[in-house]
Amino acid sequence: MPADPVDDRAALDARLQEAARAGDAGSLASLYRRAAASTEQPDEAGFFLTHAYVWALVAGDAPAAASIAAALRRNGRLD
Amino acid sequence: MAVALEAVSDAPAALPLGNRSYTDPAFFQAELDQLWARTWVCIGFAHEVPEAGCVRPVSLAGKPLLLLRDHASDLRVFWNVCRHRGMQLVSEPGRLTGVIRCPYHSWCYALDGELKVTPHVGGPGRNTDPAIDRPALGLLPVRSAEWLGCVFVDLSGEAPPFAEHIAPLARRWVDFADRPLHAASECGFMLEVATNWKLAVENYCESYHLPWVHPGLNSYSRLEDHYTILAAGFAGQGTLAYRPLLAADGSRLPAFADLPEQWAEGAEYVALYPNLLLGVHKDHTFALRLEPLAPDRTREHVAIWFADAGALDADHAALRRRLAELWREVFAEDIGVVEGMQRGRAADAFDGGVFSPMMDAATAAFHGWVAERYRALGLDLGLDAG
Repeated sequence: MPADPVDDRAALDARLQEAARAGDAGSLASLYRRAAASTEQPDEAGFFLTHAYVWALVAGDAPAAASIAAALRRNGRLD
Repeated sequence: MAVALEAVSDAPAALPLGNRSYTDPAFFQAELDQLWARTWVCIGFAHEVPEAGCVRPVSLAGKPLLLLRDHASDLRVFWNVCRHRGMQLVSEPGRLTGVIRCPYHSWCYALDGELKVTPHVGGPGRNTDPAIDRPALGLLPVRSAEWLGCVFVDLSGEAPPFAEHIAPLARRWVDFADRPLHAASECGFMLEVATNWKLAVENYCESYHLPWVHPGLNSYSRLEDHYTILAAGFAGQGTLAYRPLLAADGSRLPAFADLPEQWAEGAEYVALYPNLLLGVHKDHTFALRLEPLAPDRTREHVAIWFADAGALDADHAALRRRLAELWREVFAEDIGVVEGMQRGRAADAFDGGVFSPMMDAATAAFHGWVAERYRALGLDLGLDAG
């Protein structure tokens, strides 16, 4: 069974860059959340979740923004 | 109704402004920084941000402002600048589904101005810092108001309340001011003119030039049908012989319902100081917003509103186009004279000119308004050759 392409960091990077070029905030939020979930490093996850939060706010995706904000707050990364 | 072109006995003493007030960059800058910044100035039209989420960057004399309609559909004006490093936030008109993101470090602001997030401000992945008081760092609001489809700001925050500022004209035009207006954005247009903004106001105020500069009006709107309007904060002219456009089949644009008889054949045109030239008629209103670019350069933004939503339907498309074209022609006819007066300001021997009490009372009133503010600012009238 082929691996999910976004499980591969290089593929994820490519998709992030594509979404950035397209100005697709919703995809950026979603992809950065996957990036955060793909790492065991708390600081790296915090970095990606921060980007996910910004792009969810830009997209106006209130449920996603609320969920990401809650995760950031649990880790002391947002007031 | 005052039938006019009578000499206006209580007209303010004529105080002609000198050449330098039209040509000197120092005068121009002082006007913008001090005169324009201390009164209510029109920066745009409400229909330029028609829906919730619409944002529009606006330059007022080089100062970056942001006109927007928030997600509750309230119209707001902010300084178009991030509280972090002063980056311009919005550079193109558009419609946002979410927040305003600063393109520099991605600080994000809700459309009500609240600073929502300061990403990485406490280090990578850490979005708070004790030194950054997020609730205190919302977008900087600009005092604003909306009237007759136009958006006004007071940059100083210290001008008299807008209701007080607009009261004399709102009383005069009470028949129009509180009605819904129907903008047709395809009827708006823009002209760029090689003249000082004051000459555009002066030319608009008076009817003296109409038979010479707008000969097409002679057949139905003769000079003797016009009267002068003088009031606190505005001046202009009215006509007793407004004739609406007719379509080939005799139909016309729908009129405002239940207007007083005065408006059956009446229309009025006033310059609301400093930068808004307005016209009201039974079937439409218009506004020409002056945007000063340089001492000898002014951009004119024109918007037209119709009296009834029915005027926006396909059946009236040709009449709408003709009306917009008519006003474009009229304002284009004025370009030659306002640019000619600007070139005339290079004549060292010109002393500011004279005012006919009969025909130039509105222009004199505008000069009086400017001169009064110059005095308050410690400016002379620019009469010496400099």
